[in-house]
Amino acid sequence: MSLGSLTRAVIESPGERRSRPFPELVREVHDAHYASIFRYLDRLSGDPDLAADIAQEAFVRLFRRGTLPDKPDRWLVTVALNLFRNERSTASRRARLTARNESDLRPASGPSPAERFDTLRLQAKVRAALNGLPLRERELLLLRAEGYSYRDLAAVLALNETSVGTLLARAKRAFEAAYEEVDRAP
Amino acid sequence: MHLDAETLERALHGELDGVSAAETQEHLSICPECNAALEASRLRERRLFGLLEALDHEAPELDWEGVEVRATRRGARLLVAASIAFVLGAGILYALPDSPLRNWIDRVGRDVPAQEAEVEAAGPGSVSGLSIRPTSPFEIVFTGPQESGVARVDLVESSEVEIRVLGPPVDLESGPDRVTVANRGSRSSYAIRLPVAGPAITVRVGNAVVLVRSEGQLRTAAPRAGTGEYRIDLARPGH
Repeated sequence: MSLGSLTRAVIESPGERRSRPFPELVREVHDAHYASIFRYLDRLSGDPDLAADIAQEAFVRLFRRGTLPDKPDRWLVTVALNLFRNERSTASRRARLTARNESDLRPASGPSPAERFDTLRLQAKVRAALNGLPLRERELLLLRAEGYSYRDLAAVLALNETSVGTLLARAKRAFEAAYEEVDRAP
Repeated sequence: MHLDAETLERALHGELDGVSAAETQEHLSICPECNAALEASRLRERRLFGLLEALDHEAPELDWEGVEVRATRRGARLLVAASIAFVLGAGILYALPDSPLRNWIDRVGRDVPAQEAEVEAAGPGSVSGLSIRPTSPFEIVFTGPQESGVARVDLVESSEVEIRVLGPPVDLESGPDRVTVANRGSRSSYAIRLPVAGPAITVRVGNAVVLVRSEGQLRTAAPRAGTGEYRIDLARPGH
């Protein structure tokens, strides 16, 4: 079964949903959307450990809910985004401690030092450009990069749906300008 | 008149409704400037979204066990809260003058044979454990690997080491500088909470050091669950 047809089976067949065990349905939602939600949170936060924690917590809450929402991906990303905003305002001492230690434990393996240097430089530039945007523009841009529809973007970010295109165009221009500025810097 | 930013963006993403889509298509067929703007917008977006890929890391696997445990833990808490509320309500009802509940219980109590009213002592499977305040370098020593079971280690803002046995009881011997978990032959799991600060703490399984927390640093090869806990596999310590 392709990813697209799987997504449709989960999202568009409430009758089928009700007739199957809930954990099985959650696993299908996971297969269809977990990678995208993690990627979104990772790009947004710049912290893969935090992204994994938040994505997991979103699935815990889906499990507790006991039934699938009409649009599981939209529901999950809304929950995840709220968790991320809370986390930004109340980062705990434990989180800082463990994050530092986990990165210490990671092996420095992979590509050659020169390739690694180029990759890290590009990462730093993209991260700097992205961090230069207001949080709301960053959230919008990254959600669109995950393919969310204008209706979903408006619902998740509490925007007027008729102006989503204008806001997206503005966010892209701002990101492009920020990246070019960072790229020009010595 | 050219297409505005909203319409161009919607055309790019296929977000125009039927009428607007037809009108926009018609305009694009006769306006090379708007066509060029649309194409430039498409290329710009492809480039910008491509840049974002530089930030990506591989998604770790979801800890399904952790998801289900945490989801049901809250359900269990709610059940306990509901039980407490029920007992309190029943207590108040029992205490009322001429309470029908008290009358009913008294009547039923008289009819129950004495041996059936005896309560069994709690059997194996209950949670046991200890907590201790380390004042110098401290060790938690499992006497050896188990056939199955995990030790979940969490860091907490506390001055005490806490060890709980989740499953059939296991002997815990505490001394001034260590706790020995006599876990040979056991299949229990353990919840261990360590203070984030204070004297160094080492966790060993047999002779293998599996976790060290010292001077604000934590070293372990154990994977970290989404819940923030480190999960030491007692069947394969060190993996």
